[in-house]
Amino acid sequence: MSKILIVVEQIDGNLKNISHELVNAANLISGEINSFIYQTNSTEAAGKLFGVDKNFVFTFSSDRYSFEPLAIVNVLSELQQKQKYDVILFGHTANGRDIASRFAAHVGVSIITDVVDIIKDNGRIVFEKPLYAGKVVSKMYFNDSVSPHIITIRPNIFTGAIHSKVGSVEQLQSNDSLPNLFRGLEPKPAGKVDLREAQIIIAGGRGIGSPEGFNLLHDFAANVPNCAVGASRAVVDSGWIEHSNQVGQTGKVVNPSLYIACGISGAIQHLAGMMTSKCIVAINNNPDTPIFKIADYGIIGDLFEIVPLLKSELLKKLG
Amino acid sequence: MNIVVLVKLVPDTESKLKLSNGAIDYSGINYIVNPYDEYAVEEAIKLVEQHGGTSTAVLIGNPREGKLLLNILAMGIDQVYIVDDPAVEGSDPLAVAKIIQKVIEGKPFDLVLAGKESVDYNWGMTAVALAELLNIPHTSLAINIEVSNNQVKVKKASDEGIETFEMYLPCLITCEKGLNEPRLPKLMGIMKAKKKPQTVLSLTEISIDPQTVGSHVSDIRIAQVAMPKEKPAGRIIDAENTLEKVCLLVNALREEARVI
Repeated sequence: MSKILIVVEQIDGNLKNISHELVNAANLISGEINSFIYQTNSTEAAGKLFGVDKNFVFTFSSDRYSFEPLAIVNVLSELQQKQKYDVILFGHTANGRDIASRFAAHVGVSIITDVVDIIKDNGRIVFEKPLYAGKVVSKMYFNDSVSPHIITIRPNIFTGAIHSKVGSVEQLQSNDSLPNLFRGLEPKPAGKVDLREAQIIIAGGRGIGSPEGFNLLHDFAANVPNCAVGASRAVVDSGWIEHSNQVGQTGKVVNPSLYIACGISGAIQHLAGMMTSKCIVAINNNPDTPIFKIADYGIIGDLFEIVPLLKSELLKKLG
Repeated sequence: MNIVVLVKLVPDTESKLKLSNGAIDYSGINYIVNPYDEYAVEEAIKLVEQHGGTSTAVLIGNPREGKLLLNILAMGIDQVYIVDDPAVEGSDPLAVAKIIQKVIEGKPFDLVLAGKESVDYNWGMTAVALAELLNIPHTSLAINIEVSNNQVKVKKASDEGIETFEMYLPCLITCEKGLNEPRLPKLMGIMKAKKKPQTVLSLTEISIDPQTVGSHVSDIRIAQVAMPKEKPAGRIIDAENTLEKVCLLVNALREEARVI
């Protein structure tokens, strides 16, 4: 039986998807599961987290939205000293990877990041981690001397609903003075889905033709539920769309249920970022383009004709 | 201001990897400066141009072809420290952070810049771990950095949007794509680069026992590396007209692939 801590993320009392995925990942290790919840003004989020025995909620004294890695690391270290967790799981998210790295250095261990599978092998826990954005996959484990085992899990992998009890809640406080001064947030436009959490991604490459061409994809994403717009490096480097949309080795690694590649040729560094999508659809007017070799379904033709039809037919099905 | 930039050399993102004897076969691979570190290099040069001071790059590992480091010197970095010691091979991220800490120990710095991660193992731990070892604050995923007096304002590309933080120097920042456009070296820069100091250090020269680093003491063990599962070839959907093709596709997505 391991003692497991998951470090949960929430916004305004609402849990991010990664929080439930952390519970699922922890269940693969099996043991007593505790949660550490930060950046909240209330204990509301803990009431929405299923499958956890006990929640430790760290509330900031101020109402600042964002997070303070140093303060969190200190509170987390105190908690670890008392509870002595064997395994600590974070999301491989902007904030999760930050605190995990800093906390691990604080306790004197290295971490395994971006884990996509957890396997028990003769009493040893083995973690699957893609390298080179997925060009190679590795299986890794911690040296016996390492404690605790700290990992970050890739979003959108350990999915599935849990319906079980809600754990107890204990509040943690800190009086640390915070060296990072938060000055504000420019939120993403309302309704915009995070690329790494999207169920459907519609992505554009050179074949989109111009910056304006992306309007077609933005329109698709705005209408289809849980859909985000992706892009190839070529179009990001040309300034047609922001880097936050880039999929690939120097962008985001994504794994939606459905990846629709429009006018993307399929350069190796792009494929590395989306090969683990459950289903890949390629739309391209060039029948010889390499993307068709890895797509589950391909349509040869004009994307400007196909995408609007695909939107309306999909919406009919999704009803 | 004095800026330290962490630099790593990685296989070119355009390269196709293969395995031999259960390990990645790096023979014939072209190396590049880690793309995210290039943003850190450019930012360091820019900040020194604006505020004065020096920029120092630190590389842990084999410098490969000399032209890679010459290139960042030609861009405008003032000097490079290289810890080129075979014992370093296979070190875990925390061990690498401790080596960097030793390299910069005793050298005054105001700011440490690094890429958000390296595009080889995609670890993303080393720079942040260094901030903890140095006991200085950090902000990661910077897409904008402004320094004034002893303060730095950073725009961070977070999952929620763009967050702004201010920190006092000294501090550490990791760089995200979009921060800047790394410059191409000019002829004058290329001429000067060859005269700029490149200091190669061994582990013992920075008071690290070679027995305490490397793969044999790594916190992390690699059980296996493998190529990803080959995706079976899919099919091209063909029909009389576009609408029919799209309808066939949507049906296949629901009935066969079950993803909608």
